[in-house]
Amino acid sequence: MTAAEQVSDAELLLRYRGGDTEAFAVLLGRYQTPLYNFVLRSVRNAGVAEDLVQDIFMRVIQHQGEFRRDAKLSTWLYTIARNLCVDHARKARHRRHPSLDQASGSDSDGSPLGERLSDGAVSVERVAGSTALQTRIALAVEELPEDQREVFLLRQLEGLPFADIAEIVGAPENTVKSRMRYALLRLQETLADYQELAEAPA
Amino acid sequence: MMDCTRCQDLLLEYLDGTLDEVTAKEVQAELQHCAECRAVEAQLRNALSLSAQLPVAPMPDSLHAKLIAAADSHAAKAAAGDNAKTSSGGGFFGGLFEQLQALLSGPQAAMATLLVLIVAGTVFVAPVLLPSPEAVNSPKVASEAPQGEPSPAAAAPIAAATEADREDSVPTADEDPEAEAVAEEAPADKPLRAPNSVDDLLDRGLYETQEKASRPQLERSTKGKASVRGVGSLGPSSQRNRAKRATAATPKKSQASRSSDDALSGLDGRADEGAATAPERSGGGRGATAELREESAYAPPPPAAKEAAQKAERLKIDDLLQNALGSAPASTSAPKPAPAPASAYVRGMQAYGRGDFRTAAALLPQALNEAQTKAERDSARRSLAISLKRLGRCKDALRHFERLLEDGPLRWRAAIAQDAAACYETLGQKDAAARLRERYQ
Repeated sequence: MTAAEQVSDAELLLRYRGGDTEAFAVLLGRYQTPLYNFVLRSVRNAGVAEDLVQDIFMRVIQHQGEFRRDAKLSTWLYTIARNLCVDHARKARHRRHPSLDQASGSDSDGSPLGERLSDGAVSVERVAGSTALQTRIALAVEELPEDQREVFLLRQLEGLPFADIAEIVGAPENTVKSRMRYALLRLQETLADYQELAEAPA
Repeated sequence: MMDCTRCQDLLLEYLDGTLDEVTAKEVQAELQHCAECRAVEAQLRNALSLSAQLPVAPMPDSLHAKLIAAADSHAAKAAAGDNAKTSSGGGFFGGLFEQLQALLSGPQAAMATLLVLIVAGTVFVAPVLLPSPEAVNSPKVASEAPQGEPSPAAAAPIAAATEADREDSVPTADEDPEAEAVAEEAPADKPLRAPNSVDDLLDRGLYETQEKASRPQLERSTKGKASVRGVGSLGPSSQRNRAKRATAATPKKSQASRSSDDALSGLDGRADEGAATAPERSGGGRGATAELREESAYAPPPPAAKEAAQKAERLKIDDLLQNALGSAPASTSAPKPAPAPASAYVRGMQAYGRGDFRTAAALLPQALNEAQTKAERDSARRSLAISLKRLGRCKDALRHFERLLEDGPLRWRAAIAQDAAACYETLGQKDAAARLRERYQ
């Protein structure tokens, strides 16, 4: 099993294609946590996140035969994930109640206050044992503008290179780097009161 | 000396340690001289430090189990399909070949072999090389539907899109007009293609395009869209237009199919935003189209219809999973080989997937004994442990969790440690729980 951990995604997918279900389990293990958290922080609703993650992996199962060895699975997965999240946000905007729209006036990514109050809390509570600081960080991340948040999450959760993130979000690499920088500066600003905590030795 | 803008542009890579030595030294020099750059660097450093503490939620175990079961089932079905094909073909050839060899010997055998190969080649290979009538016709199904007169072949794409949008936005508001419009327009108008759609990935080479025709269940079940895409790839706008009308004039399309279109449109939907924000990519006149699309996209859909579509979407996913889990609904008409009795592993995992932990806990110990591979045993053990935990049998669960922590997959260990720690806490052994959490943090 340890050896399987070193095998590339493409190789694992190829093995799964050949009927090796263990290979799929390894792939799932590799991606399920970061992918789930990417979606969770994007849609801010645990139930929706589960549905979307299920949808993503079902597509992988259904279409794995069409994946080429020289392509990157991470790029494929997160491209699907990101588009499903964007689609969800678009639908959510259509559904939004006008009075809640108005309440969210200053929110730059246009997420309604109702969603933020309910779903944001839900997504944070999912992480059992989080400290107050962690909860605050999670909320601050969820409040980032959408274009900054997705870049931040891809970088933070999956550690993807900026070039890969640029491919996933369909923006030039330099733009992606700028978004990451703005996201960090915004987080720093939001969490300024926790600065000392962050600087303190663990 | 490096200027402030360039320095601040490079700070992320500087902090990541991914800059080359020369540039890193230049940044360092600038930081020494410029208080503003130093301040930004300190802010970024702090932010990175805080970001590292972003809590990470484990994906629910029930979803993990569902996906594993779906993957297993899909692989088993694929294998069954392959076996059926090879056994029928191979059996025939093998049998014939053996019979001839038995009848003939010496130099005649070689001639006979050659003869068999030629005949077999003519009978079996030719149909593979020449497309069957069904294969040729199938992508045109939607385009051949006799709704509306074909528009002139020279019709501009914008006009086609405009007409299609109008048709869509009025009577079938419960469908996603934006997605439909993109799906129709996209194939012939590359710059407008969703940069991230499955079809676009196909064209960009992330998929093997030759296998596109065999894209399985999920795509096939979305008849409308699949057909439209197929037609679109043929090129002429008149065909696309006809296809569009055919789709628009098919109100009988099932809710499930519609909602699945919706789900797939998630991949395409972004194309609109791309087109709207980057008109320079798509050439002249594109701005107008994008505007039109925006309008249709913002036509408020009836909430009830949307909810119904969402419900149907859920049903569709459940249906897919049901299929994948082996308990196919009665609607599947394809002839199936006689099902082999499901193993304890399959039945146990199915029970686990639907949250029936009692049954899972009863079946999975047997699965542990019968497991053919370590992966299957690990998977069964993990599901068993979680089932036991859910049933409140923490001591029993811990036995399996501990075993998995010893020799289970590395990737699972952090999550398993959390589950095990929770069990220890339930049993009042807080120290053990803390130790475990610390060790696998």
